[in-house]
Amino acid sequence: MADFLIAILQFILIITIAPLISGIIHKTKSLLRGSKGASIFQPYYNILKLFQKEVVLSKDASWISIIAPYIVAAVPIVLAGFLPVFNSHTLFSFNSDIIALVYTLALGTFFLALYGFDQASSFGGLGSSREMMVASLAEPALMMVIFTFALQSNSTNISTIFEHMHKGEFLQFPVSSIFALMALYFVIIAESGRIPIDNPETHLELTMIHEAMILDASGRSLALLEIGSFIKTAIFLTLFSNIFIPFGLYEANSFLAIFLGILIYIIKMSLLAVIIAIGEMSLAKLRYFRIPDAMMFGFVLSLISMIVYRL
Amino acid sequence: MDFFIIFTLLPILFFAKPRVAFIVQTLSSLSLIVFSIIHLINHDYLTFILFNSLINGADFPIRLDALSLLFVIIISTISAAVSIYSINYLYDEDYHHKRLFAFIYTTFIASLIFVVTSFNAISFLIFWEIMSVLSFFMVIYSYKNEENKKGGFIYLFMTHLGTAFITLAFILMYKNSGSFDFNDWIHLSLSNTTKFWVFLFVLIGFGTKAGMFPIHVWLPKAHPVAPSNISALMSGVMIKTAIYMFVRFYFYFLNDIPWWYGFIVLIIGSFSALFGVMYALAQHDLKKLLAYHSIENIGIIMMGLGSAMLFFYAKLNILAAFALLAALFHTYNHAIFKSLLFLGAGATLLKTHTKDMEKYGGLIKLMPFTTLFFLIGSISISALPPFNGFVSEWLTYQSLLLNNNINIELVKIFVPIFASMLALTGAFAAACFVKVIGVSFLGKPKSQNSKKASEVRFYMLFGMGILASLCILFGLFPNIVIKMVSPVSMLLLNVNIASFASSKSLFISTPNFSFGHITTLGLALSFIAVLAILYLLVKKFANTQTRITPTWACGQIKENVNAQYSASGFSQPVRRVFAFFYNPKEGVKKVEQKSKYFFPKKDYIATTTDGIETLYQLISKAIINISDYLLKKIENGSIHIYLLYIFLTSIAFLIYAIQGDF
Repeated sequence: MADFLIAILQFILIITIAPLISGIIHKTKSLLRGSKGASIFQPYYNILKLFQKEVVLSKDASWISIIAPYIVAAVPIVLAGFLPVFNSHTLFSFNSDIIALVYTLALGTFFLALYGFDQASSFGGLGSSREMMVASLAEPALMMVIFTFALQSNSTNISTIFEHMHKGEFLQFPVSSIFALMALYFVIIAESGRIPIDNPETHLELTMIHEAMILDASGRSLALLEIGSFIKTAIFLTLFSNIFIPFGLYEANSFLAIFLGILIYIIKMSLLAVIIAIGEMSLAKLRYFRIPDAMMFGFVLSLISMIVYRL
Repeated sequence: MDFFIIFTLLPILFFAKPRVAFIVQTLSSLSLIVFSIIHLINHDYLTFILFNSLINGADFPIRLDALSLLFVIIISTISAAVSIYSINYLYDEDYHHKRLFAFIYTTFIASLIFVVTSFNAISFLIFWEIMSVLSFFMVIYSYKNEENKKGGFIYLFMTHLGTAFITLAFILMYKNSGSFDFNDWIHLSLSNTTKFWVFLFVLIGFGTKAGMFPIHVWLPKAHPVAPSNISALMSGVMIKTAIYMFVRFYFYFLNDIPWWYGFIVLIIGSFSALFGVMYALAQHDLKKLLAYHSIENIGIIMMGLGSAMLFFYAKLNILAAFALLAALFHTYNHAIFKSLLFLGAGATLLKTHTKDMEKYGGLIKLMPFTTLFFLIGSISISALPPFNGFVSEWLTYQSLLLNNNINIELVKIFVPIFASMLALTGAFAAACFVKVIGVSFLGKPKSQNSKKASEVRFYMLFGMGILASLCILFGLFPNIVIKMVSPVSMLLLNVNIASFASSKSLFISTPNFSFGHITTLGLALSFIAVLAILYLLVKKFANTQTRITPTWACGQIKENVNAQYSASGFSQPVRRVFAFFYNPKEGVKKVEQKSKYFFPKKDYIATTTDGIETLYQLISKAIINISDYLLKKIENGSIHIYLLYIFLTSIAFLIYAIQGDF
């Protein structure tokens, strides 16, 4: 029972903290720019506001437009149930396979891209086209990193991989892990649509990727899509932090341990958010056709990681 | 045995009444499935002689062992669904000579079944040829089209090239076993050189049929021009007969294969997969796109097969059985979703009269059920959970990962790279089907024909519906298929894979449960639960009003359907990034010269070339040039020279005759 409660707690934690990451990134960027910036809780207000607005739907839209936002939001939420945050008991632990995680995420992307097409506008398709290519190019590097860790910990089960990392295996192959870390960073940037791959703050047809797909979304649809992308980012960052900053995954069930676990998790996530924000501030957005180079670089890093592990 | 023959041959008798023939075909296919499953479960493997021929050693023996029965099940599943579809399709599409169509159709299915059950090299080749020639007839069924003639000719040539190699392999086996009977070939010990030649000839011979890279060129030309129900059978099951023979040869006939056989199959598989999907992405002819996806999926199957061969070499029989499960599972899955997609393409083609995706658009509202089934097929082929494609792709990933257990450095280094190629393939497949669904089914109709489209009739939908529900069924309950494959792994590797891969009910797992396990049913249920909660929350707390308005068109008042994103636009980034691969030619071409300044009519042209096709063209051009040159040299028109040839030939024969006398 305690395990189940912990699982629920983790599940809720990852969902509730997700918009905060975006808020922290935004706040950090504002501070670095020298402006005051909105509160870090602004994304929560935005979502609440969107839920209160009506949906404006194109007359050409079909049922895809109605179900897609739900699917796009539900996919990362289900995955949040896979993912150990501060304890290895998860809500859907029967299924916490890392290959399944990657492919389930792809299901969300698939429907998001279809959503882009459904409103018969030219922007949506443009965004879908770009998003699918970026997602495709990020996939090999992601899979390679996953393979490296699956082989190291002799399992594709996420909980097992995390536990393995926490037993100090990170230090066993330090060079390999560092390369894997860099590769995974590239993948996260691409998958969550941050600078230098995509800029979530602009609506310029020359550059936008993710925003183009959801340009025609409004009201609750947009809120759901936003929730989806927030949680997706949170999932990647959790994956990243639990593999590379392996502190705070406790086996103990004591109240204090859980409290500490949550605290450490929030600190880790905020730290990563600040790092991403600094990265965004110091880089310019890449031209779209330079993205393959970046992704190729990420893949080469992951390949080096794999080869170093093998040697 | 009587049942088997009756069920297989009965439909042919009804060819004079096509509708009845299709219904009988459906019923007998279903009976065959039941028959095969019963025999598979009871491990009751029949052997009998179809008929004795006059030539000694060239009888027509049939053996229904586990592997054959599995493929009979695959073939019958697809033929049952396609036959239901054909009841309406043949009449709605209004093909000429309907009786001929029905005759070729039913005989083709019978020949497919005999190909996978024949247990003699000669009878196998005879049925193989019947299968190839009948499918050739179907490819050129609309023989007045130039495209059909060309595709058919290339197909006929390539398939016979393949048969030539198959014959060579069979002759080598005959020389070393002294028999054409497959029973005498089981685990035949061959010298290393002979083994290599057999391996190579089988790979090329059957690989041609399978459409494996780089001998795939006929496939995207022949499959799309055939009638859609035949395309479904060809892509769904005919190319699988090659996979059947791969498994037969590499796991059953050959013995002690070296490690690099498996590695070669793995390499070819991964390149087929990646190149197949990349060519598919650049296509906007719907059926051609699907044909290229067949190449991709054959590649994925071969990746599973290759890793199974590696394990087989390393005597890791449990893992070999697991990888074989991945390959055979994907074989079944691909048969299901590829035929579904071809049937869907046939339905859209029937209603819009074009294969060009750029002219579809908005079909989701006009053909809602076709779209739904096509969407299910697309999700399956893109290997997205929880449908069946995901299960077999997951198994393939796991078997690639498990290749780590083989102590060969080259394998250990390269297999992760192949796995990333598979990841790229999967992602591109998803991108490709976003394109197909997005451009052809969503949005607004882009041509008059697609505006007038309507839903197809009941039996067509029913046929597609069966396959779509199988996609879901095998995705949620993969154990059904694992149980079917298990006798095959018993036969070939003496491992009951069901007790390893589905040791816990509703789970599929690697032989070592803790290494990786997954339950698609659990995934689907948790997904549905989350969706339901989300929906209820939104309904309770959020604003549920919806306002319908026209899409904002940047202020333009006149509605322009061509402003929607197009298929060639969608794939443009990929074409550009992989320009070295596609060799794309694109640009704007003026159609009319007269309105030069005021809204001139322009066409956007974007073409890509299949590099391998160019290579083939170069080779054929070189051969023609050489023959031309020789022709001019040898046959220069002087009658004296010809007389000299006759004279020299006679002398040569005389010398030969005298030599023979000694």
